Amino acid sequence: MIIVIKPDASEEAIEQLKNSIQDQGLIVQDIKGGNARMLGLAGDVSNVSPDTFSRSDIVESAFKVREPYKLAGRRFHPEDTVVSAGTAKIGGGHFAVIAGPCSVESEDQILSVAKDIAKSGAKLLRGGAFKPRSSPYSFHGLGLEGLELLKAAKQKTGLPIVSEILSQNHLDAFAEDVDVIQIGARNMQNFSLLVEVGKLKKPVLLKRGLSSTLEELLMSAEYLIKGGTDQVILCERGIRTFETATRNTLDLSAIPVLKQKSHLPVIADPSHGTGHWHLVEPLALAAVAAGADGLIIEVHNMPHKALCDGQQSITPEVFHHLMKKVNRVREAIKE
Amino acid sequence: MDNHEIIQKVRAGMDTVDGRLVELLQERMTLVDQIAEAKRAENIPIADEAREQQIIEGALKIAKDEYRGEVVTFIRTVMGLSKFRQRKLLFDGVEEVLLPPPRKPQEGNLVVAYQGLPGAWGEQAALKLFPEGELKGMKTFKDVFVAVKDKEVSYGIVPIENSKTGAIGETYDLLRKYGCFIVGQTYVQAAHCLMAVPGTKISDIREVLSHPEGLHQCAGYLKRRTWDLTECRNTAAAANWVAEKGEKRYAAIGSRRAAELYGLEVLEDNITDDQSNSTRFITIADEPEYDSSCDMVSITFRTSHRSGALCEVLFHFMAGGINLTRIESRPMIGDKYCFFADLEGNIEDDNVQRGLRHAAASCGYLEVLGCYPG
Repeated sequence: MIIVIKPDASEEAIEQLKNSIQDQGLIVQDIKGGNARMLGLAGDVSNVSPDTFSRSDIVESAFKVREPYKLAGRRFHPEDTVVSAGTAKIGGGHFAVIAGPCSVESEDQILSVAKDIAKSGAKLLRGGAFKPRSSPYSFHGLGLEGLELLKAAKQKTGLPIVSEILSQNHLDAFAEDVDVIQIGARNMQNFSLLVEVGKLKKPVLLKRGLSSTLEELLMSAEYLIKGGTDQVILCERGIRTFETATRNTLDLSAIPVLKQKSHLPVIADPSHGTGHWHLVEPLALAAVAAGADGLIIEVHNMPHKALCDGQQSITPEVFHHLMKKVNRVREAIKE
Repeated sequence: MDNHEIIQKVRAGMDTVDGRLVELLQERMTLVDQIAEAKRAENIPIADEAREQQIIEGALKIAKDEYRGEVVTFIRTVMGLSKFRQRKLLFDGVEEVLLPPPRKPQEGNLVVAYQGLPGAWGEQAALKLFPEGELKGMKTFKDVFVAVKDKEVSYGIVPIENSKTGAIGETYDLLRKYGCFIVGQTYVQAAHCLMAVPGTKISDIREVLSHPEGLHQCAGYLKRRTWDLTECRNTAAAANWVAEKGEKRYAAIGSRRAAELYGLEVLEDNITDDQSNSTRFITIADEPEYDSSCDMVSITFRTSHRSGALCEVLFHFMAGGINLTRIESRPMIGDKYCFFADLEGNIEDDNVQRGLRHAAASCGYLEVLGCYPG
């Protein structure tokens, strides 16, 4: 629900109103960026009628918000959110590319990839230490040792780290070592994990589930924000359709839709979105043209030998070339 | 024909062959230029080990038995240079930054971290390098690295090798993990003393405390006695402990300065077995510092796990006329090894730059740790 406050209302009266709303067990927050002073109400408002507030002297009007997500929605937060992680910023006009191998395999692999992508203009380093794999027999990552190697790469290149968390058991390690915690597509609706990760108050990269609607994605972001972090990056990584030529169908329309409905930065993952290295570049460029605030791309020094997702990883040389084109597209769509 | 004439004649023949080799090398390089672009278009890495193996096998088929080794080294070197060339092309000719530009040496109130308590050998090294500095003892080597990286201190001092016991592995591992740079070095001669509370006679002593390295370096002296030996975190901590205990049955091994600081009496001076024993300490900083007077470069690199991989990297130092003064290996996870090397020269020297760039292209990862006066 949104309450529009009359222009002549005193701060004291507004404060009183806010307290009375909180007493009903609801979350209340100021909505910045609009012309009139407004309050946003989140929580279970199903039994609360707008009329209760309209009667107040200081209230101009009160109306219910149709969307189930409030904190993640633009109505409560018209201004773009800028997510900051270390030296990198994403959203609100800041564009950043996240790159790195699907999984951390060895010290030389992660260090050489990190050094190369930094040279080509990536702003963050991705690397899986814990990998969710469809098969229990596949490589599942180096675990905490992988995090150590990512840390070494960060020390040497200055690139902040993005890595996926799989279980609540690792919250402490991620809280300390990882700059942006990734919630993978398969965990997008692991609500208890979302709440716990939200509590860490750190930047989170939330990937869209492979069969989730955009509303469901935003509801998951709502969990994170309600949990405690306002630093959430939304990521379109492809959804399941009847098409078999690609691993998933990268839903590019999600980018402008999410940006319209939410204040959170939106990035695209053309690597998982397509599943084939030669489709990474065209879809990366299309995502940038569609208004993405960033990209997340899998780069491996030896894709054919990668222990995970080699067929969709590109070499550092291909990435260098892609970055040049990305910059040209950004230049072209500048207003 | 006398020998001089023979030499002249053969040399003329060699010049012709060398001229042909140069032409052929350049011809191969132009082919390399054509393939680089195509490899990128097909997402094929510059280093293609299967293809390299094919080339080697092909060369060995036509090589005479007695030249097999030379042919493999020659071909591998040519391939190393090709990889360097391809990388350069695909990254728009931008040369790798070997070492970030130097900052000016820190001035003013310098805070210098070392591991241990006042009186430790690390403090002696710090005093030698920064007589005016405010010295700060840290619990562990890692604490020193973290303090430098977090800019809590201007410099850190850590031991890297001992002339008798060899490399200090922990320091190498920390250099691997933290992005710290080496900006200086010094040698400290560990002239260990035996110390105890004033009035103690040698015959009163039952137990001797020191850092394991201290006990190790005085092993010959200690062998002649029947004292119990106890290891401590560092030599100064041992002296401190003996002073606090205040009993004549305890003695510590450490520096004369430690004895003075903790009010102990030196019972025997310089009991180190090998009088020339010295420990090399390095100064670490969070940014590199160097100028034209520096004559030592430290690097670390990782090679792939196959025969000749290390040799191939080292070859480029030979080709560049660079003298390696030290090489050290440390294990990494996955049964792989990481190498550290010290070379003579300055990072701005043409041959050093070329050698390092070529070496970097023929190994998985190479990083320059610093350039400093040797």
